[in-house]
Amino acid sequence: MNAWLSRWLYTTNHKDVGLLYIAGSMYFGFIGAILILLVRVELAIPVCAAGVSGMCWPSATQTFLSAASFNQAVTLHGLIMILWFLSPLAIGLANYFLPLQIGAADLALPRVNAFGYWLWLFGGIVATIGFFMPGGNTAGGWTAYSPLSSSTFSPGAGPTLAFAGLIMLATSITVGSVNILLTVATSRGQGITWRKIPMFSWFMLFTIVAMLFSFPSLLAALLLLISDRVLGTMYFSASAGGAILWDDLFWFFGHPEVYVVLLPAFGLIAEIFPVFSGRPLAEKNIILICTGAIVIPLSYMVWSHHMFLTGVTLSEDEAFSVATILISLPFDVITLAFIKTLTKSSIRLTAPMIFCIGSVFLFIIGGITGVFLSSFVLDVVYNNTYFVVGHFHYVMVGAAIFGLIAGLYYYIPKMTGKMYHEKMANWHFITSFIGFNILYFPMFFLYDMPRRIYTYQSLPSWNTLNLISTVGAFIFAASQIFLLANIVWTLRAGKISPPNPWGATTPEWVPVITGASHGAAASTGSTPGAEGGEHHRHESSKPIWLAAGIGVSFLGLSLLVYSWGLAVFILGLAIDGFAVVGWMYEDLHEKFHMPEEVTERWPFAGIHKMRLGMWIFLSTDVIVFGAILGAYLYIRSFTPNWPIPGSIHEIPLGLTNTIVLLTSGLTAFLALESIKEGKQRNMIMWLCATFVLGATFLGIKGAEWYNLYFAKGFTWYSSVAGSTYYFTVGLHAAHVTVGLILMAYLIRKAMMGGYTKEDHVGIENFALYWAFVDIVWIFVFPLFYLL
Amino acid sequence: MNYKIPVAVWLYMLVTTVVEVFVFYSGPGTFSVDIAIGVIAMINSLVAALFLMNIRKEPPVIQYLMLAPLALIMVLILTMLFAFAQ
Repeated sequence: MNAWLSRWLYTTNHKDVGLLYIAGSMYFGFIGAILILLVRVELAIPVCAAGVSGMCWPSATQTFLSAASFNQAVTLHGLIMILWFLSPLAIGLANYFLPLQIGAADLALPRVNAFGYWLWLFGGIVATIGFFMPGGNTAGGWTAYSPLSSSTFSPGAGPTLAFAGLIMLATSITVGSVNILLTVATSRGQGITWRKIPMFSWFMLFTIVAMLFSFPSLLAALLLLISDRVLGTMYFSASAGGAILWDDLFWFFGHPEVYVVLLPAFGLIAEIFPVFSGRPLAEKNIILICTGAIVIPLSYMVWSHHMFLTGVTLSEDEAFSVATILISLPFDVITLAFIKTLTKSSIRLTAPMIFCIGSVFLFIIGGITGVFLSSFVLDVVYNNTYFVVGHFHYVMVGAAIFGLIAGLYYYIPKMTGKMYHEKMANWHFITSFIGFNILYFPMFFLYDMPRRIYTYQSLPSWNTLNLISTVGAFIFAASQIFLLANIVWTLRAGKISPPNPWGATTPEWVPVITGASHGAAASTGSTPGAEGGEHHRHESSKPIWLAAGIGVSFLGLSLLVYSWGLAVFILGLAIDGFAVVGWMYEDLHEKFHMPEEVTERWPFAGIHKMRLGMWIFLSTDVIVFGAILGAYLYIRSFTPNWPIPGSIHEIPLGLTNTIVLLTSGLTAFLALESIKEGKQRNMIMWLCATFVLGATFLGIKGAEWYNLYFAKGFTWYSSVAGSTYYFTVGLHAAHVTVGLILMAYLIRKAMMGGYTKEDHVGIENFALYWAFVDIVWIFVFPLFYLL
Repeated sequence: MNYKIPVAVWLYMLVTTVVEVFVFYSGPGTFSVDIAIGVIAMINSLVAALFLMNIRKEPPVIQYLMLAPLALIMVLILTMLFAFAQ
């Protein structure tokens, strides 16, 4: 294969993956922008009153966009901008610069990093393919509220594809979060103690923690939703209180997501302000404490303010109202610290600096308007109006985008080795800032106009403001041409940048760390001389194949309504099988090797990197299973006629299976203990015993399902009791199956002498995973069989 | 190798699981039985976490790493149930 193509398809280097994320996010940002421009054209003018003509649509059925097209455009605009543009742009910058800032050679798990990228990209493609399906794409808003997202109100393959794409995205973000957290914890260069981690990396760390526990909730909700749509389960049916269940699961992710989008921009501001003001960041420790408090616990304590009007109890409204006001306080402190940094300083008004100042200014407006919405009394008036749209765009577009663009300009010299065109960048800021405010500020005065209406009758108070807003949208969109032109100009004609053009003091500009080698430095044209050392080539074709396989299988799953859908699904599984075997082959024969480096690891010094990774992964799985068991408890409480315990399930069979699984937990533990003593044969014997017991568990489960389905007529689509049982037990069985695949690999590697008394982290990780699977079953058995 | 602890933990969990089923048959669907079954399940999962996952021997930071999502998900579940209980 062409070397250039091979590099970009198979790279696992953090810089390359970072650049791929940045390029990909810009592509999706372009699509998202086009969609919203269509929407703004539609909203620019009202429907003509009877007998009137002029600047208005002739009738409600003769508008620029149909109602269906409008809804799809708005929905996909929201999804794409938040999940495929904003967050990934920050993740791209983090991929590139976080390892440089902390002196790591690469991210802790480079192949997993590349897999995360491809899964994200293919997820976006799968989600947007829905536009070309009969009936179009999902149209129920980016929140996918139930029952709008159900097959009844959103029929067809298009919405299913969008949700499948979202599952891929949530999985990608979760594995990416584990990876970045692991990198900061275990791969910091010598001398980079926690106190010396630069602010951008600190903020990315907080962002990752916010992602780590929020995206699994989205993943759980989407798995339930797609199960409802494809298999016909009834999680989100109205009779089971599905609308509120979706709200809770979605917003438990959705509110922390606001900080996921915002915090990287704050990290860049905290990095850039000191450089261009000549003063150290004011109150650095307080900023970190405040950000920590925002992420855990506050960001997870406010989600219900999105549900003030859903009929939850008044006391719940009050509690979440107070929590929401509370979360604004640390943001006040952070904003004041930023402003304090600038006071009495010598500001250099370069492009990164003016974008940062713009970001803080817009955040203040967005933040203040958010305080209005924290009041559940005012929310009665403002909920679902353009006031809300204005507020969150000031935060998520104003503060976040301006901050991220500041970061792009700041790091362009580092990424390209060349200086960008300063004047063009200044014009970019001026036009963006003006366009942004013309676009969004009028929305605060449209507090009586409902959002998500595709057209409206002529009203003097709405007409002008909507027209102004649309003009602003075009100015704001057009202003981004300056950024693209600047990037092209920089690559073609930019002056060679000095190694540290801004006089920054952070490690990515002044490499003082030993150990960091950063393979693709030369190939990406980074600052000459800024980084040296050996070029670690660690390419692998398996991440892209694995992600492609998942994409194809989700495509097939979404298209099961067609006769060939099943074939596509099976093809996807086959590709995945090929990729998994290839991945394991690379491991078994050490084809993919990352050098171990001396690193700062406190407080994780005694924990192997891979074992910590497993712990972090399991912590996310706690949320997935917790959300699904929580959904079961919620539905169970809501449903009056639940089958009497013991009337459906064979309790002796469930007990037998529990004993089998608990026994496999013991044998897995003994396998670990054996290799700790260097007894390889014993380890293999115990692993084989665990495999047999795990397979027996699945066999009994299969027989039980067969009996329930065919003999008793207890199906997943006939009752909510059946839905919750099959889904929860099925998800657990999927975990057991993954465990069996892992075991097959471990046994093969063990037979090749791959584990020793000193090096057996693979067995340790498996034992951990298997014990977790046991623990989940300890809850599942009584919940479904006995209670 | 010290088999005593893992085998004792395994036996304990087998016995308590059987007890769980006996408790169920003593009065299916009654509140006290449901509570008893729930308590046994929680203790069993704690024992499995402590001895099979060996979380008791891990540094505090790992223990917090597992406790944090547990606490957060409990907040979510209780909020969902509390909202229903109006």
